[in-house]
Amino acid sequence: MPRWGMVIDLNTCTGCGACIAACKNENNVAYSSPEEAENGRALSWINLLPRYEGEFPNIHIQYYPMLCMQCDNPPCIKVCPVRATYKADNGIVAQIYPRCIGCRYCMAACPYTVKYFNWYEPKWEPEMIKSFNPDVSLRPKGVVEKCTFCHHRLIEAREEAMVEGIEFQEEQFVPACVETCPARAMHFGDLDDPNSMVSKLANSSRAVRFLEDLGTEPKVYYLSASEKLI
Amino acid sequence: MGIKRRDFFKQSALLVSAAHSGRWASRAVAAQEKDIFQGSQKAGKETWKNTVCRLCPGGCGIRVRLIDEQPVTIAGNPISPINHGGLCPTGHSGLQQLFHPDRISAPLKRVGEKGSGKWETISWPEALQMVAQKLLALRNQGNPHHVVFLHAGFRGSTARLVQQFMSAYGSPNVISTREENPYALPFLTMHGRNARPAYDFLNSRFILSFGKDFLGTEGPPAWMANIFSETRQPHREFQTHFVQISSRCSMSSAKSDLWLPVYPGTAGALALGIAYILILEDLYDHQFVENFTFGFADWIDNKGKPHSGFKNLVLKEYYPEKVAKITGAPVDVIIQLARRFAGNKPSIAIYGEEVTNYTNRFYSQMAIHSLNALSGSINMKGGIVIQPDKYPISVPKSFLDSIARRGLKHDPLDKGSNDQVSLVQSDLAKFLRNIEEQKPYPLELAFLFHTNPVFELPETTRVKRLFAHIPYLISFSSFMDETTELADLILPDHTYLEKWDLDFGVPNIPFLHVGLSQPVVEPVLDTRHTGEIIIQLAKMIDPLTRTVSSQNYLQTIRSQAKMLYDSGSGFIPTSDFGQFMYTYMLDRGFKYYKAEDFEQFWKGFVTHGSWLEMPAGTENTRSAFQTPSKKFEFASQILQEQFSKYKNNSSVQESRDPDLKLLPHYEPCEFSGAEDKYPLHLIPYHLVTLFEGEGANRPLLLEMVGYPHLIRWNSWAEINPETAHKWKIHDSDWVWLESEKERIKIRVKYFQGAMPGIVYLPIGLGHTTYGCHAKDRGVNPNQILASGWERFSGQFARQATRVRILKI
Amino acid sequence: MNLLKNQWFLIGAGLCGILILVVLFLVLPNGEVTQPIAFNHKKHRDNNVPCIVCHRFYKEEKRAGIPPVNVCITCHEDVIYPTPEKIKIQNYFSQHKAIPWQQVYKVPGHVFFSHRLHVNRGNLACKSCHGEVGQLEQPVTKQLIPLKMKYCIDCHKTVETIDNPYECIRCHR
Repeated sequence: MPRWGMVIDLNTCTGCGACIAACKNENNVAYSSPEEAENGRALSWINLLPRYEGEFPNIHIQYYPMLCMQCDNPPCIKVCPVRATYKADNGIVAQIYPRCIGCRYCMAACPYTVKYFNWYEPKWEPEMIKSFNPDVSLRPKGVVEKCTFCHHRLIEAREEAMVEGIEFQEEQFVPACVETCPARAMHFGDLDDPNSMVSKLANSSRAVRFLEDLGTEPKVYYLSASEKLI
Repeated sequence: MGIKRRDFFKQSALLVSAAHSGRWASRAVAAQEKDIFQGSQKAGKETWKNTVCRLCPGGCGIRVRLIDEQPVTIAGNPISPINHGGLCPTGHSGLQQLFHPDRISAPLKRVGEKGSGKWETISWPEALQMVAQKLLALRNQGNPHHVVFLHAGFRGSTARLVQQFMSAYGSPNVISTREENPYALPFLTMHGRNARPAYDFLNSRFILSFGKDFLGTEGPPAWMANIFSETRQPHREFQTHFVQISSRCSMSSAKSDLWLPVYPGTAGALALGIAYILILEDLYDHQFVENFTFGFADWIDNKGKPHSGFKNLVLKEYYPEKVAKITGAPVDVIIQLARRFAGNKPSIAIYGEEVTNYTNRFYSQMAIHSLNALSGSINMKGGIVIQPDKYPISVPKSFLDSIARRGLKHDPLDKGSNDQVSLVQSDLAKFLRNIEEQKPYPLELAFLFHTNPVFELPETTRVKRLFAHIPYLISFSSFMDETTELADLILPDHTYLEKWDLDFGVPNIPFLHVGLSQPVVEPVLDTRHTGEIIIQLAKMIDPLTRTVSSQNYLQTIRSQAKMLYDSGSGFIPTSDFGQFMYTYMLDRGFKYYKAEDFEQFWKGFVTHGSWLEMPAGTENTRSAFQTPSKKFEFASQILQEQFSKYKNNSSVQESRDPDLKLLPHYEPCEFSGAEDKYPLHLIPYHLVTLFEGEGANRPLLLEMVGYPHLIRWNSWAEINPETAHKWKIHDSDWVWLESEKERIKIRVKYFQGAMPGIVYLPIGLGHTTYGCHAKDRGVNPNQILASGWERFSGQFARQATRVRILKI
Repeated sequence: MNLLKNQWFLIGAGLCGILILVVLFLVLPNGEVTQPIAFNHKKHRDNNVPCIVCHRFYKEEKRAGIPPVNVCITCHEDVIYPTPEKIKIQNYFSQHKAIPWQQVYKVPGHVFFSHRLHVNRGNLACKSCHGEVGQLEQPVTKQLIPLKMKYCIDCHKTVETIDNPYECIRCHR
């Protein structure tokens, strides 16, 4: 069983925001209205978390693409009273919407604040509904949602492989954000496979994980930006 | 009869079922199936179609995922030589454009006052009849040149068709409302030709960017991101150093190895300061300067008059201490920069928005470009090359009857004036002045092709007045934007996902590339391809049929694709090798997918979506300059010629040193507003999500518009906290920004990457119409811009406005 | 307030409520739908029309597909032996309208289900999930076997499948 993980190279990430757009489209994430967004209730499974350090002109800017870390030891699943969020065999932290009762304990428990609550009934224009991705369900008001590593793509890819009668290949499953990244800063694959790109990068000296001391064992690695050449 | 048919069907049904249990579907059965089973069954059938993204000038290849013929996702096309599978955020919003609730659904005729928003839906034949009548009437009066076709810098097949149509009709006026080539000026004066530069970043070791937001809107975003990432790979043999010189810490600045903030409008001085060190320390490329340049040393013109050269001017004027004072860059940094620029060859100096938006842009651009000559990196590997533009696609010459010939004799309305030195082909300032004064002839009918000058151009009120006074305005826009609102007739175009097109001429790429746009979905609304409209109009106006002869637009495209095929050059990339690999393999004589006949070529083109040709090596073209001296000219003789034309015209002949006028030099930018009354600079900048404001109607982009500051759906003003404290303004306060002209209300955001004393505003929000999502969101900085038009390029100096800030 | 204290009023109101509920229960269709055409599965089967003729994609796509009018009209174009149902089909066809079939067998949007996987890989017959639809002489108005999660799980527990039948995200998406 593969253990899916992601490596994001902060050295090449240009902070263009393509991952945000790709994710919202791929997963039918609802739009907020300006007023809702003002209250911090906009949904976006992947965000670019800005960090500004220093003062003009010695400033260092870095954007961190923040998505569900798919922890190996996720704090969110321990607090779920209904087992709506749990860790699947392949390491993906799943969110089962019909089970979710909307208590938001998991949101409080998540140290990365990457779980989002549907505060409002999603407002879709009837014309735009036509362009929904049929592979992903629409979430109703009152449930928590989060990044799934585009798990539906894994289901699809595996189904395709099974129908064709061929072995499922690791490369067939790529999340939408990784697929679109124009700077090729995101890598995805099996962390347990020593030959995969991600496991090599994740074991490199540049790889760090966020809030590692909490013991959450996140499966999203960041390759730190290298020193400036000048 | 029924029974017979039923018997037959039973058999065929068995065949069909057998066909599906095995894989031996015979063609006959397949053909029958198609007839029997046509009609939509929602089976979740997935298909992909390759096409080209047209939401920005980047020309990325995209593939669209269709489920039951319904487009659901857009992704980058991995075999596109431009984006290699990546896609910027704007590219993902295409389906929201296609299925937007506020798209114009049918031809509209104005019924109320201009701009009153009262429309009547009419049929297509009626609409075309109306346009044809107008055009015929003007032509019969002998005034075909009173017709103008306005666009936002279009290219490819549509551009060629429109050019053909307009010249056959008899009008020289095909005018872009945006600057088509902001890099042109130094090429016109120093290379002697209008050209676009393409940069070989991959082979370069040092890139000195003067205010070019290369990771943002300047340069195709996906292409640049890909190249940038390539230069940052650890396995490379050498490192590419990026230096960004601009006042704001944009993403390009943040990702560069060095960000050097300079005062607004002083980039030219810094370039000359670097040139000083290069010359003083003898670091410039002697071989190139001596063999291929003119005007470096003092020179004597053909009348025997001595002139001072670039070298002496720089050594006399631009010593580091002085430059440091002008630009705010420390002396030691300037010296270091120059040494590194010379020490890491090949090195490139590039320029962008923070140079071209000031009144001194012309000489600044020349100064920056002369650094390329000093480092000898013109037309060579790892340097700056002239973008190839010799596409093997030609359009037949227009047939001109006597009316057309007379019409074409008139100067186009955007031609530079007679009382001013003008270098560029299209002078926007002059165009606006001409239609304002109705000189030399009035403008009676204007076509508006996907451009929105009322929103995009500064001096919003004036431009709006001018467009409201155009007697007949026909818009091809898909949305009711600010300019289309003033139209008399709207002939809505398809979106790019619904039409056939050939797209070529992507800026800044060093190879020839043709992208094929194909409809991925049946037209959603009762819209029509503008190309088809042009072809139909040509049929209705008598002599034009002889020029525009194709039956429909697809036929035009196919005939142009035939030219590509017949030329025998280039190939259709069928898999992605990355740019290095293409050149590597082509150099070694590798033959790519070659079609046996045109039909096969066309099939491959439709399937894979692009055609590509790598130009031959650039080394031998190093001396290809078209100046009078056939060399790269530091002292521009073309400019000298221009100035001498107006010897007796006092407005052109200023008191300035006549030698200085030919050489790159620094002159202070003229800012609008007195410094004591308006103490802050205003710098509007572009966002990769909105460009000039086209993106503002899509919720996807609006919601993420301000992600660097976690702002959604609104504009914000970046300001340094130090400056804010001076005016007692806190983070997220609402303020008035006031220029000489007007004031706008906006929310302040603290940003340490902002230079003290400057307010930064994003361009693209603040629409007054343009659909439910865009309307009344944020502010439009164009409203308050108060500086003037730059005289050589005819473009507005967008960043040369001073403002003051008032707390609410 | 007085009114509420009146016990006869309360009893009356209660009775009315019950009556309304009973009426609603009788009137509202309990999960059943009405089909536009009285389709006879059995008759088609007896005439040797295999499933794939109408449910065209069940072997090769995720969904089996419900036939559009073009498929029906191929056989039922004749006017020699008109029946009311045939005339309905012909009317739909001549008016270029789709037959408003009501989908009966469907899974909720958050469930991933693939026909081709179950048919090709699992070698399941149609009736293992759809019941004896082929023997129906009346149009399909309700699921013969209720497609609930339990039904899926029960089957997956017994059949040897790739992995853990309790893995929620194998089907939930």
